[in-house]
Amino acid sequence: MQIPYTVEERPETGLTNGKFGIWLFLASEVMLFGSLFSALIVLRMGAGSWPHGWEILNIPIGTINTMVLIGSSVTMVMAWASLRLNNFGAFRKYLGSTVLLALVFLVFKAIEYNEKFQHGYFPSTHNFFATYFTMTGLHGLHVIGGIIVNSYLLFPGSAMWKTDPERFTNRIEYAGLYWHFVDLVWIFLFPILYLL
Amino acid sequence: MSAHDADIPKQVKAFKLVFAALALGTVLTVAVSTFHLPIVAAVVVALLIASAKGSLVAGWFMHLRAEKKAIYAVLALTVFFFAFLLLWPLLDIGGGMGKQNVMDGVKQPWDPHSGHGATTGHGGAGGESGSNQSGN
Repeated sequence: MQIPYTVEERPETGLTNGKFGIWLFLASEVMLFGSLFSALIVLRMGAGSWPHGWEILNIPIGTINTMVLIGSSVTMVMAWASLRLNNFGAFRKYLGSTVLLALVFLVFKAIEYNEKFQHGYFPSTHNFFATYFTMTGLHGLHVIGGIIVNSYLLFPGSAMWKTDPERFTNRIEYAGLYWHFVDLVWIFLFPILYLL
Repeated sequence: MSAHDADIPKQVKAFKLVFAALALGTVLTVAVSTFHLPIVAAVVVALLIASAKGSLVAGWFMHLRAEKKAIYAVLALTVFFFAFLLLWPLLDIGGGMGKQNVMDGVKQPWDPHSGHGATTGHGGAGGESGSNQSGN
């Protein structure tokens, strides 16, 4: 039995089921990160003292990681555009770059975490570090999730391009929407944690 | 290539411009932070730049410039609950404003001036300590 509305649009929504589904998922993700931002506001406004992120965190690494994630968003959308232009070779190049940039992001994050641990800063040190490790840690888990999904689509999952190219292109679009959301979260996390 | 796909090369050019704008926005955010503005001004500027960058990502990379009504409806509902989530705790905080903070004057473990905190390679963790900063 064929799964309905994977390529053709559902009349009620004008969308494929996958696209509507990924947007509903992203809506739930907004609330998940929103709860953490809300907790940060409460903790910071209620604290007797709160360190400046720029005094404690590594701004150069944070800035490089922001650029890396923005770059990966561009390669992700270019991977989708390449499929739309029937250029599978370019798609592989761009999606491979996305995965590689995501790994670079995690390596820098690991260096940063290690630096903090070396200086004796742990989540238990202060609420600032508790929120920093929780928010960047959850974001890091999302990056790992993106790497897993994109790696699947890059290697075994790409076999679908030969049998059902339109459906495969849609899958890349959904994976891209998720990846851009991960980038979007970091765009707000970086100034709030590092620069204020 | 369908008529819809004929638009892709134009979009690719736009994606590159958006990337340049996002990189510029990142540099601008970091540059502004070096001025060490008062906390309220710093938050406003940082969130304005982040919102502009976020709009570019959502509008172009996530194609929200031209999407179906069902997605806008989902997002409108999300924005409502997100705003509620952020603003609701402020009511509680507002009720406590002007009262003595129990942590005022208490030495923090990360504070190098307290004599038992760790130091960093980034200039230590002075932060907004003291009772006059408790509302930040």
